[in-house]
Amino acid sequence: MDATNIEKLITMPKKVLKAPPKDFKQDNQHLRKDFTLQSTEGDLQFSAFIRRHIDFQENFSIGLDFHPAGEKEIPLIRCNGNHGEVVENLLKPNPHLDYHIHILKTEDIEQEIRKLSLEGITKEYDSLEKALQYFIKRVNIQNINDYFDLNPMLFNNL
Amino acid sequence: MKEILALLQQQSNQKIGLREKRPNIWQVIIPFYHEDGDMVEVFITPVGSLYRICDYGLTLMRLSYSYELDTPNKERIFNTIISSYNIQNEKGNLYIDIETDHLYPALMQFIGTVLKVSNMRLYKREVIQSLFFEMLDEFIQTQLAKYQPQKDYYPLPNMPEYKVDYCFNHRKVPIYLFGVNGAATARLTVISCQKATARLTVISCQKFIIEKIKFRSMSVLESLDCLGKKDQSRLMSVADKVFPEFNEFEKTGDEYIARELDLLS
Repeated sequence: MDATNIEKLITMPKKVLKAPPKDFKQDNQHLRKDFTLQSTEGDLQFSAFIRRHIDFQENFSIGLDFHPAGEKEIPLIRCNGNHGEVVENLLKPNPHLDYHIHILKTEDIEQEIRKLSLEGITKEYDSLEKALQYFIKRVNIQNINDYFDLNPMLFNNL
Repeated sequence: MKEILALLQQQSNQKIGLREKRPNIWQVIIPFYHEDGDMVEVFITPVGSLYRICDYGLTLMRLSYSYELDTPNKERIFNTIISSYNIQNEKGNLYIDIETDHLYPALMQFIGTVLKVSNMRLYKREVIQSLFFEMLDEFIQTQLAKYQPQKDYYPLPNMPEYKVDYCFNHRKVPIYLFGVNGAATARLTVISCQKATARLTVISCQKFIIEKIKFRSMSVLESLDCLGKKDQSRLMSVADKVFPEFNEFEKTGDEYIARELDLLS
């Protein structure tokens, strides 16, 4: 899988297949919501998750996994909050401290370790609700309004 | 050697810091990273005369992106990891309280533990699945010993590739038990059962099968999600009984075998 195919998987139009629960569920010290997606063409299967720490609201992650038929899932992208330092090169770290995005890179596939790498810091969002809006747009979920009320006021009540 | 030591001491001095996350909660800035580049999230906060090194539940939150602690085996491994390093768990918050004199080594141990927990998803095949068979064996050899189970039974003497994990065979019609912890073993189970079933249609083996390979089969899954839907379907189409979780087998396996043997006797 090359970068073009990875980007195609991330951006291909998708629809929510299994509706997420209305409310976030508390699990240990975080809130969570999980839902499944399917490409509008080709019936490819995906899953998505939202996590947010209960006390540290800047600690969140929204992710998309691809589920190839009969194989283990492959993480494609995660939109993270400003939870702490992040580096691109583990051995020659040049730390960043900001909202950032992890993405699957070709070398990750080649190593078959199913990890993500740092795509970069981002100014696309600075909160969970804006990150979710960005994520929905980037991964191209078309019927999201049937399942999510993206009114920021709702997130403030978390 | 002195040169290397000096380099390490010099570099380590420059590589540790603290950032105030919240009042009296300090995030440790230290070059230990997860594989995706995120720094390990560790905090220090004063607790009386001690310091508490903790993660505020962020290790388990991170783990939940790709892995669930949703079986007793997984919880057991998780608890073994943290207790081995004297780490406490309070509603997902991993922590250790330590005197000031031992703060640095405790911090290093804590980070090591966090990384081990974070990599639990990599243990799935190597550790957790092998534990499943250990637990299955322990349960059968103790709780089901009264049925005289025979481990690693070969119904077809000249075909060792068709192994039954356990045979409860002291009655006329034996019960074959297969442990299944993944698609590979499920397929093996299917192949074994299909092979025996297929033999029923082979005239040359009919007498042998009727006399020697009449059996009931049951499969015990480590968990239902260890199989994809197609493998679940394959398994359920050939097995007489499927226990979808090891827990379920622990609860009702004894009663089921007793009932089956009673019916078959």
